[in-house]
Amino acid sequence: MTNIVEHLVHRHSVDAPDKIAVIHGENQYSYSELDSCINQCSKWLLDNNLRQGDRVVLVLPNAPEYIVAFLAVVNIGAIVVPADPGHKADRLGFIVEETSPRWLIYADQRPPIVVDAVSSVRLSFAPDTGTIVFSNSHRVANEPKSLTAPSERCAAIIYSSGSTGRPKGVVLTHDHLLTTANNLANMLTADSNHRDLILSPMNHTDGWQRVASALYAGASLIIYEGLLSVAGWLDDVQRFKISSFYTPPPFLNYLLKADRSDIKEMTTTLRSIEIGSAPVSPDRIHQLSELFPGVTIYVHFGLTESSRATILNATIRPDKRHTVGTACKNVEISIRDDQGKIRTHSSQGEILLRGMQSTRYYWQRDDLNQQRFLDDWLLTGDYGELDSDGYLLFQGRKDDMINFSGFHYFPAEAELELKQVPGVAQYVFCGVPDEQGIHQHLPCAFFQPEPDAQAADAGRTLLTLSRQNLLPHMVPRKVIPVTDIPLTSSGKPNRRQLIKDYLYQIDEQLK
Amino acid sequence: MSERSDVQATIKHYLASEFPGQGNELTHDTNLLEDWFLDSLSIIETVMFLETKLNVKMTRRDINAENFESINTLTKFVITAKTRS
Repeated sequence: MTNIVEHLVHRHSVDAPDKIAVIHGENQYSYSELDSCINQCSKWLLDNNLRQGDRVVLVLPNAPEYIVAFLAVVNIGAIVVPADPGHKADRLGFIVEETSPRWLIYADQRPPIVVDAVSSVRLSFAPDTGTIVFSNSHRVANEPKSLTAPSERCAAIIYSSGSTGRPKGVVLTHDHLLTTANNLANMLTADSNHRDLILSPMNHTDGWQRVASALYAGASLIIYEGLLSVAGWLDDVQRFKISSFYTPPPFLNYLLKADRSDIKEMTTTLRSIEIGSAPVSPDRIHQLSELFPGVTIYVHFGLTESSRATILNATIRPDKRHTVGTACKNVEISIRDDQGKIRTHSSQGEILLRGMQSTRYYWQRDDLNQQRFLDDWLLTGDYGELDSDGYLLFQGRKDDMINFSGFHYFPAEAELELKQVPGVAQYVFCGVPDEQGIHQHLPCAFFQPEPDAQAADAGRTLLTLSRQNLLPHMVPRKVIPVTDIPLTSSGKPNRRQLIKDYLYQIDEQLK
Repeated sequence: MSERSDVQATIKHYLASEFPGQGNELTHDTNLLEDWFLDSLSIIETVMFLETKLNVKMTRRDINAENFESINTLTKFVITAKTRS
């Protein structure tokens, strides 16, 4: 049976034990040290009752501890459930409730929600001894629920936005993770000399798969430390002789805008840049090519259910820069047209995926397992067009999904978490197109004040509560008072109408 | 107005207009990361603003939680950097 840890770490610790695997700040870990830490961590977990199929929630920042904990858990056949350390209590509570983990592992402070809900333990590194340290172990009396994983190869449950506002757990197996790592390493032609700079959160599939692909290739990965900045990025690229990195489009826009005449001479080691999470215009790709001559630019399309389903080499195919490329190895793409027919080229409609990289299950969600799969095809809910050469043109998210700087979520998710707002009769969240082209959408909240409330006061309350209760990318950049929330024929808020009216008003004001 | 209050006002105006409604009230002592909730992209934008509008260069070392703690700490950084250059 495939074990991803064997491919990512064990074999390199035998073949090249002293090769540096991970660098983070002043600390670095060879493959043999990484292997040893994973074994220590697995042993602690085994000694503390973790068994195959048990879940472990990780609330860890981008640091070597994340990699060690992830691989230690899957190494013994248990299942990782990544959680963002920035998650509010409600969302973390939901994940804990739905996965019923044996352990929750955190780095700094124990999340308050878990005190009575789940056994938890703090994980840290002792760089001077090269060992990992478990501390503050806190056990609860109740056993985890007996939940059966849909596959014994299950390695991770990664939560992503749900169209009803309820996050859904995407089940990924060792085979899924390994196939993507292999594909990505091949695409980047990564070998042991490759040096990958990790900027994105590892608790997202895009960030984690970059980690996995670098380790798969026996390369070195450098985890960015501190507050992200163009200066810091340049510093790392030069200092660590970075060959490649992945980023959503907004950071590249900052690179293009940065007033750094030395950017070319400081980035001579760069060989490739991968862009994903949100569409990037052909003009931007052209500007990047001019800024980084000789650097191959890749653009990918994917979702948590199938990370990196297509990839475009935008450098060798400038004529296809309006697309997101062709299907990756072991991925099949088709389009379900308006008549429900499944076609493989020259057609437009919903994008369908299948193959080794695509999930087959949602965790504990029979409803979605019925709705989102057609035979063995995954119905992505994304719309696109396949051209006669098999290149996919991505057209947009189904319904009203908001894409703020690569963070995708549905308005209902923010609305469910925010609940009642004093002084506000009703409100809806929308993604208004970002006219500056940086964020794709700007999250905005349209609200109808209560009859006896001041619109300005109600708006301020709405913002304050959003800040207190929502993840940063969900907080509205603007709150817009309206006299009425228009409804669709089925009685749902008509978001498109709200956005259209709002943009019309802005246009009028600019005239 | 003194240079200090000019810089304070410029930074406050920028943060309040570009990242509005990030907390109850933006004062010179509001914690920008914890209470005004500047995220990673907002910080990059703010650095670019300081570099272009206030003509200071920020190295990686300068872009840290201490300098970004409040408008007052950012102001102190800007004035020190200007004196240095």
